[in-house]
Amino acid sequence: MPESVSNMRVGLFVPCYVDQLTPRVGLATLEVLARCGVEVEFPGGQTCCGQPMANMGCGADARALAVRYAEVFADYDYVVCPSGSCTAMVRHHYPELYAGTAAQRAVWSRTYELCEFLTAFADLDRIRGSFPYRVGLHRGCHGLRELRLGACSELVHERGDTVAQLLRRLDGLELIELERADECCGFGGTFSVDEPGVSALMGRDRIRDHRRAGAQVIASTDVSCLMHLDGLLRRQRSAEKVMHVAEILAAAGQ
Amino acid sequence: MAHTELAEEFVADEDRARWHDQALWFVRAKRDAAAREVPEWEELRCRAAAIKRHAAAHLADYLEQFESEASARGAQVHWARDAAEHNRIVHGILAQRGAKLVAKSKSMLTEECGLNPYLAARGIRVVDTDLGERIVQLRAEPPSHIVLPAIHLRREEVGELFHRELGTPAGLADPERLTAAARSNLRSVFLEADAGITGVNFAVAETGGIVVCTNEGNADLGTSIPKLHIACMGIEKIVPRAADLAVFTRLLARSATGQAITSYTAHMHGPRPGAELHIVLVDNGRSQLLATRRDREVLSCIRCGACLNTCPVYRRSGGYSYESVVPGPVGSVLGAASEPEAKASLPYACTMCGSCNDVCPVRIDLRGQLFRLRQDLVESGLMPRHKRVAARLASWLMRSPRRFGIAGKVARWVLRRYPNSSALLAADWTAARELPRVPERSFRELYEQRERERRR
Amino acid sequence: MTARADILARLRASGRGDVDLPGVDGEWRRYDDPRRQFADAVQAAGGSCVFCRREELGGRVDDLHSEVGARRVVSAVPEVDGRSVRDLGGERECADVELLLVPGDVAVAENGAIWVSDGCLPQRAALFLAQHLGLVVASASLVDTMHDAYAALAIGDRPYGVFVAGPSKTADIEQCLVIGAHGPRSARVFVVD
Ligand code: SF4
Repeated sequence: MPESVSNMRVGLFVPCYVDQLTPRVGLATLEVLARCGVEVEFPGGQTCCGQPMANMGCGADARALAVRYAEVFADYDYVVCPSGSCTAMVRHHYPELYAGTAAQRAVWSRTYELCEFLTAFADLDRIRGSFPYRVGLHRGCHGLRELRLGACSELVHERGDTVAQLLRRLDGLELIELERADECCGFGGTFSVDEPGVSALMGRDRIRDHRRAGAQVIASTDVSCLMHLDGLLRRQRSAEKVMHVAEILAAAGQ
Repeated sequence: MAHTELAEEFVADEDRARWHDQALWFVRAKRDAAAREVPEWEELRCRAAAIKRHAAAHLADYLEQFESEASARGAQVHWARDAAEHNRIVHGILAQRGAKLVAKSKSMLTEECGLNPYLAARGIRVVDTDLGERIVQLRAEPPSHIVLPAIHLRREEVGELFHRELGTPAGLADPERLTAAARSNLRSVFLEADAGITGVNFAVAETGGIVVCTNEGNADLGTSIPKLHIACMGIEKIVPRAADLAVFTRLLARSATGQAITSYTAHMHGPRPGAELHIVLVDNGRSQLLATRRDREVLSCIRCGACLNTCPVYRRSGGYSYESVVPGPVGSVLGAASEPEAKASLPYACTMCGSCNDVCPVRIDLRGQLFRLRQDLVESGLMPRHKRVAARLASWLMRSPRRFGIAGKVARWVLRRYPNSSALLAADWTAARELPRVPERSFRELYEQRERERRR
Repeated sequence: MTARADILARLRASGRGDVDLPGVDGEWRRYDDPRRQFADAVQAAGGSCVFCRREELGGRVDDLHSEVGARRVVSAVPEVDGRSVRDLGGERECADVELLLVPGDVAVAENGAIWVSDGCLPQRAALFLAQHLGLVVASASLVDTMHDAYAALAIGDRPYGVFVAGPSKTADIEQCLVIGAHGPRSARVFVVD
């Protein structure tokens, strides 16, 4: 592991929906990385990792996107991405779906989710500040069970908790205890519109759990889960807010 | 019907769906606690997976070994290519001995083969003796779960059923008294049955023995009184050695119900003195699954039900929404792998959360299988046209950052300008949730601007 | 082709693959206090557990008699009085047994299970038809895990052997645990020193 991140060339991959719908999460990611001494570049040739298509079963259509991804980020030592599920797509599903050349596989495997990246490479002492709210951490499933960004409730192994560890560095932030530590929110890509009733009930149950524990903010490493939960919260005219972990880290440092 | 429609029906009764969810979550939580009692849990899962994968790869050898050991101990071994042959064999054995009443204990295989209706049509009365199975049998329904057959029913519904069928007092809904009523009703069946039919949890190649696990003791009771025992098993139930049973008995009940072990773990080697034991080995599509290395893994399943209990979709859509003998994640894999056309909606009854993978005691990559089955379905043209077109269009757009940028801009403009029409167009999303609030400018626009300012 | 030949041929055609059969040894759990663990496990399985010396066994079994109010007692344990199982007639006669006492060969600390085989029990039906069950096992046969249990047993030597953990039970109605499904309504284990 390199001692210094200052000599590394790091690319930023901003998933398509973050780019279009929540640019503030991209900006917060830049901000947090900069504060930790990591200057990242956002190569404009990037688009989408292809996860939505692959999850529909149309992975073959998205092959060109995996190739493009490897080209766009070929010159970077690392790629960092503020989404657990897009990172999992690139790192786990690309090689599985497309095999790829050695060079392509190397680029794919150098892709890190933001919290993972910070934990591995950044000076964590720079993650500080105050965020005096009760926060519920909603685990994005792919970040959790594919990248293992946290302890998984199903497994008996003791595991570190990458995301919670970062949040716990902030003053005043109270991580609330959920009844179901890591249940899925029900978004699931096209599942959210294929089975809207089940999807929405899952989301409402997730919200209930957070509410019962007194959360003011529902946080996650994935904007997709948050978009779904936010849509449900606003329909209920609820007071809870959703925030990406990057937004919290950025806001706390201000 | 597709899972989508049946699931939407189930979830329309939100209170009931939530009750169902909580009943199963309770089982999942018990499973977690039981697993934590075993520090070597993950090692056990790895062993179990390896034993099963190994046994599947050498199945022909182990089946022959099993047959010869079982025969040496006096059991009669039969082979059935498919469900029809299985049913014919079982009926033949029963008919030859003039059996009229059969006490049957839980067996997912006989469900799969449709044995009960087959025998009923030939004048043989089959009574399911597992309480949950008895309940659904009296309701003329299939089980809705592979371990908890009547998990979809409330106690009041069982009370009404027993009032009608067993003459319990009207309004009685106390599980203890209802169970007592079933107990006394079924005692006579056990005492009078001409034959007992059981499933098999594990068959040991090394010893030719079969292992049957129950909590109620119904498999043992049903086979210790009549002179005839027929055990029906899928060929994948084989484990090589007696010692392997330690691994599986440690995992099975903990995964299934959170018990450290089932009340009874019976080992049968040959018939009871003076009685007959017939073992029917059934293929019914298994060798075909085995032939595709990718699908082979699912044959490791020990039918513990843990993946059903943890599946957030199963919990909120109910067993019947899968229209398969085995519902839930493993049922979706089995269904879509063997009948892709009829079961095309099942791989999509999943958010890809992956919890099933992590509870599965034999580490089947259920999530990965479902993901791959989706790719297969699309490849064989089984995806609805409009979705296929949408995916192609999306891929085409994303292949060029310019096209993507323009499409994004247009979409955001439409969403901001015409929120109501957008909501109407996205009815499946907006039925329960608001559309996202869209920003004026995308991240890439903001980033470019920032970079321009910096350079200045 | 017979079904047998057909199935075997299909299986052989699909090739073997290369997964090795893992060994049976492992770093399995060891308990500091297996007796206590065993007693807890029996209780969790819905049964009860009594530790006693051999000479106390008779008295402890008498306690159980009066507790469950059993009159028709059948014993397969030589040291314990009662009608002998050898004198039980047909299976259907077992239905009258109120209390059955059987010896166990191995007791498993991790889950409270006792291995009982038909070596001592010509009518295995009695094990399930009796209203109450007493299991007698020597403390020397207490092992930690199922791995130890299978290592100590030769399961293929008898037509029938069963791990019994507590009384029969079911939770098939709304997940409510009910003790006494089809088999015994209670089970007590006597661990004898
Ligand atoms: S797939 Fe795994 S978790 Fe699901 S029933 Fe089978 S063994 Fe259990």
